[in-house]
Amino acid sequence: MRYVRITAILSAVVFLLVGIVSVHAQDASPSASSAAATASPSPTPEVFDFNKAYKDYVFVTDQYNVAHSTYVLARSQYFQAKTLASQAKAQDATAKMLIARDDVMKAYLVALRLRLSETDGVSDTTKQGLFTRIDTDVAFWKTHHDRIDSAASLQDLTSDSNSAKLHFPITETLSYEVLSTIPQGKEFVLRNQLADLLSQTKTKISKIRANGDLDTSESERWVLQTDQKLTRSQDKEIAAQDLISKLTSTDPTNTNQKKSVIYGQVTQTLVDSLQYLKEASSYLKEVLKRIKYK
Amino acid sequence: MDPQNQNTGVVSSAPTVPPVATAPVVNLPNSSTSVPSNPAVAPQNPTASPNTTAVNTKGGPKKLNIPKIDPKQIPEMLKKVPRKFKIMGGFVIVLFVLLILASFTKQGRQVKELILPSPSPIPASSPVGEVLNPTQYATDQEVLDIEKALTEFDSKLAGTDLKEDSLRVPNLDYVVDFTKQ
Repeated sequence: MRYVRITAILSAVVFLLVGIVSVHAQDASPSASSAAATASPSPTPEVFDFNKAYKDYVFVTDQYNVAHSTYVLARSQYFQAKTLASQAKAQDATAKMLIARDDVMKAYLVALRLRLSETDGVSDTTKQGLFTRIDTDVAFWKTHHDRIDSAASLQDLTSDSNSAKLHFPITETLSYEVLSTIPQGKEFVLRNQLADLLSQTKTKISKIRANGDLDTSESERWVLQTDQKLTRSQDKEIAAQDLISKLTSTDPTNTNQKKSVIYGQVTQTLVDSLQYLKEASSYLKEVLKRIKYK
Repeated sequence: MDPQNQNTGVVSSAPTVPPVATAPVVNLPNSSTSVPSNPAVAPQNPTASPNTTAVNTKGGPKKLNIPKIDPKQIPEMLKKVPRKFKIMGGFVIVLFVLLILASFTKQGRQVKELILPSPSPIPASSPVGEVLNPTQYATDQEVLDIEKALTEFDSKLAGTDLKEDSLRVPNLDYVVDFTKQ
C-alpha cells in the first residue's frame, strides 16, 4: 500500500511537469493568434509609388533571368543540332529574352523616375529635364519591345538586339546622372536645414551679447568654425556637380572613363560632404552647451 | 666502568645517568634490519593506497573492508531486491528520462531558464560626470527649440544613405550572335 501511494505522488509530479510545459507552449502562441486577429481585412488602395515600381522591377528582372537561361540553352542546342526545330526553338527563346530584357529596362527607368520625383532638394528645372529624358528613353524601349514580335529570323532578332545594344550607353548615362542627382538633392536639403539652425543660433547669440549677461566670445568663435565646416561641405558638393557633368560630357577624354567609376567618385565626394555636415552639427551642439552651461 | 663509555675508553667521573628510554624495536618479517615501531619515527609506506588504508586513532594503518562485487553476481543480487523497490527504481528512471527529454524541447528550456537563478547585480560605482553650472539661458525656450531641432536633424543625418545600391544599372546580356558559337 505504501509504495502505491509513493507511485501516485510521483505520477502527480509528472503530470505537474507536463502541465508546466504545456502552459509555456500556450504562452508562446498568443502572439501569432493576436497577429492574425489584428490583420485588417479591408484592402487599402495601392498607390503607384517608388516601392511598387521597385517591386515590379524586381519581378521583371526575375522573369528576364528565367528567359535568359532558356535562351542560353536553346542557343547551345541550336549550335549542336543545327536543325530547323532547334532553330525555331532558339528563335522563340531569343525573342522572349529580348522582350524580357526590354521590360527590365522599362521597369528600371520607371522606378528611377519615381525615386527622383520623391526626392526633395532637386530643383524643378533639373527634375523636369531628367523626366523628359527618362520618358523618351522609356519610349525607345517600348518601341523596341513591340518590334521584336515582327522578327522573322534569327538574323532579324540579332539586328534588333544590336539596336538595343547601341542605345544602352544612352540609358546608362541617363541612369547614372539620375542616380547622382538623387543623393545630391538629399545632401542639399540637409545642409540647408543645418544652415538654418546655425542662423538661429547666431541670432540668439547676438541677443545674448546685446543683453550683456553672458560672455559670448567663445560661442561666437565656435560658430565661425561651424560655418567653415558648412562651407567645406558645399565645396564638396560643387566638386560632385563637376563629376556629374563628366557623365554627360562629349569630351573624348571623359567618354573613355567608365560611367560606373564616375558615379562611384560622385557618391564618395558626397559622402565626404555629409561628413562635414556631421562635424558642423557636432560643433553646433557644443555652442549650445556653452550657452546653457558655464 | 660505565658500559656506555667502554668503546671510547673515557673514564667519566660524573654521576651515573640512567639510560634514556628508547623506542621498542620490532622485527619486520621480511627485513634484516630492525625499525622502531613508534609511528612518529617509523617511515611511511609510500605505496599505501588512501582507499585501502586509514590512520587509526590508536596509531597504525588499518585496512577498510570494501566488499568486491563480481559482475556475474549482479542479476542474482537484483533478484534478491524487494519488488516494491524495483518498481520505484524503474519509475524514477522513467521520470529521469522524461525530464531529460523535456529539457530538450523549447518549452522545457524555458522552464529550465525559469528555474535558473537570476544573476545577482554587481555593485559598481557610477562615474561622476563633469559638474556644470547652468546659466540663465539653460531653460531659454529659443535655445531649447534649437537644441531639439538639432537632435532631430542628427537622427535624420544618421539615417541618410547616399548610395542607391538597389537601383544600380541592370547588368543584362546584349551580345546576341548566332553566327559563331
